[in-house]
This record gives sequence, structure tokens and C-alpha cells, in this order.
Amino acid sequence: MREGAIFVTIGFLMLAAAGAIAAVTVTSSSTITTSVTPPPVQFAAGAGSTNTRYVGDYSLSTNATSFEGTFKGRAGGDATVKNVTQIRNTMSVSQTVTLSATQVTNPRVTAFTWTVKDASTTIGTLDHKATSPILTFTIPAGMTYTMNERLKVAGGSGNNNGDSADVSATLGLSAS
Amino acid sequence: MMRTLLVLGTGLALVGSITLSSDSATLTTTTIEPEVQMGALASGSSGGLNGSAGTASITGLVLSQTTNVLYLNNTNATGAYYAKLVVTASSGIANLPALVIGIDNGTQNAQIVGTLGSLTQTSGQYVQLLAASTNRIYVTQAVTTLALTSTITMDVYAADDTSESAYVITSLTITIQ
Repeated sequence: MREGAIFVTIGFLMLAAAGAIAAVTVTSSSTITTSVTPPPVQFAAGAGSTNTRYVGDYSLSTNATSFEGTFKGRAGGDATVKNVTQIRNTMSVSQTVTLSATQVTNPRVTAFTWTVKDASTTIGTLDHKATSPILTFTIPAGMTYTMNERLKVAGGSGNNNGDSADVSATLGLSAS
Repeated sequence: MMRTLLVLGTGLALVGSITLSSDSATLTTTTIEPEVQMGALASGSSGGLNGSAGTASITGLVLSQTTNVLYLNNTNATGAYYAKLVVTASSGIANLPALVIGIDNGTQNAQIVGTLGSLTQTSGQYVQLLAASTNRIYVTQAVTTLALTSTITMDVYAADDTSESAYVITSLTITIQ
């Protein structure tokens, strides 16, 4: 009898313990680690970036997400420089790239464009004279496109058109 | 329940995409004179502003003789350029039974050719212009009917190399009457 009472008591205790466990709130935690990787789509310097007849002070930012440079137009001339800069997709999947730029309204600059090329095939042209310059295209995995610059300047009334045809503009890149 | 939540979580991860925007490239332009310039040579010719818009006028009958109408100078002191001519427009060609327009860099290089009232060659091969060199644009074998005007407008290409890795286009108009 006493053994039976002990078993019953233990049984109650186990049930009580089970009830207690059911009421416990379990808190779990996760570990989140962040790291910085290179952007999937980057600029790169092309062969034309070192052509000092047309391009000055070309330089890429540290992560190749932007560049800067001075581009020399010819008064009364229509200058084209091939492969000034490049766009590279470093990913294993294709990316949709959007180039957007500021509008150039200086009337002495009669054309200022960037033409994106896949070898000899034209992917598209960004026109700085447009109201809202924008160009969207898809770049395949691991592909590099080149960008040709064109700058056409009016003849002007001075010996070298002075500084009146100098402009500043920006060119942004986004990828998704 | 757990399995359902996991499926939902996976589905959410596949919806939408991430767009990464870079800082904007900073572009600055400056304007200089063309290094390859046209200058007046014969009477009635002009290099125009900046030497970038040449015009020339030839009056009278030209029979198998060369008329140098414009200078085509490479003003770059240290670097060669390559030049060629490409017709962009013309009028009165029927008045020209014969025509050759070319670039003379020490050797005459025909660029534009016309025979029997039509242009049979509307562009030329690149001709090297040595650094700091004086070259000429010439017209020869132009035979025209007096008092009738022929006009040929051309693009003058000045390129770094014959593959045109970089080039500048200026304009030239020659009138023959």
C-alpha cells in the first residue's frame, strides 16, 4: 500500500512538472551578421579614360560605384571618344541597370551623350540634353559593357568659345 | 504550424528585389579649339571660327590642274592625327563631269571622286597628318559648266587612329562655279 501511495505521489508530481513546463515561455535568439560586399554592378575605367586629348582626371571611387572626369569638347566640333568608362555585372545573374543624369541646358553644348555598347552592338544612349535623361537596360551575368562619350559644341563667337560651353553634369547608376 | 510558417517565410524572401544606387558620377566639360584646323589658302576660302568650319569657292573652269583650296593643319605639336573626308550633302553635281577632292600630306590622297555628273566615291581613307604639320585640301580635275554652281558639303574627320578610338568631326563646304 505504501509503495502504491508513493507511485501515485510521483505520478502527481510528474503531472505537475509537465504542467509547469507547458507554462514556461521559451525565448530563442538569432545571430545576425552583416558584411559589406562589392556592389553587383560597377563602373570601370575604359581605354578612352586615359586619352588626355579628350579626357582629364578620370578617377573611380573606391568601390567603383562612381567616377569623375573632365571631358574636352572642341569648339565647332563633334567629338566622340570610345570606351571611356565601362559597366560591369559582377553577379552570376543578370541585372537591370538604370542610368540617370542631370540635364545639360547650355545651348552651346548641342550634343552630350553616353552610348552603351556590347562590342559593336548599341544597347542604348543616354542623352544629357533630354529633359529627364535616363536609360534602362539589362546586363547579363558577368558581362562588361563599354560606354562611348560624345560631346558636340557650337562654333561660338570667340577664338575658342571661351568658357561659355563648359558644363557640369552627373551620371547616376542603380541596379536591381 | 511550424511548417506553414517556414513556407510563408520562404515565399516572402522571393518577393520583390533590392535596388542598389551608387553615388553619381561627376562630369565636367571644357571647350578647346580643334587640333586639326582648316585655314584659308586660296582666295575665296575661309577656315571659319576656330578653324572648324571650312569653306572654299572655286570659280571658272578647272581642267586637270590642282587647286589647293584650304590648309588642313595639325596644330598638335607632339601627336599625329589621321584625317578623312566624308560627303554629307551635295547639289548641282550634274554640272560636274569630273571631280576629285583630296588631302595632300605631301602626297595627294583622293577622298571624293565624281565622274559623269555623279559622285562615285563619297568618302576617303584616313591620311596621316604628322604633328605640327601643314597639309592641304585640294580640288583637281573639276570640270564644270560655267555659271552653274555645284556644292559639296563634307565632314572632316580628325581621328587618333584609323580605328577611330576617338575622333572629332568638323565641317567643310566647297563650291565650284
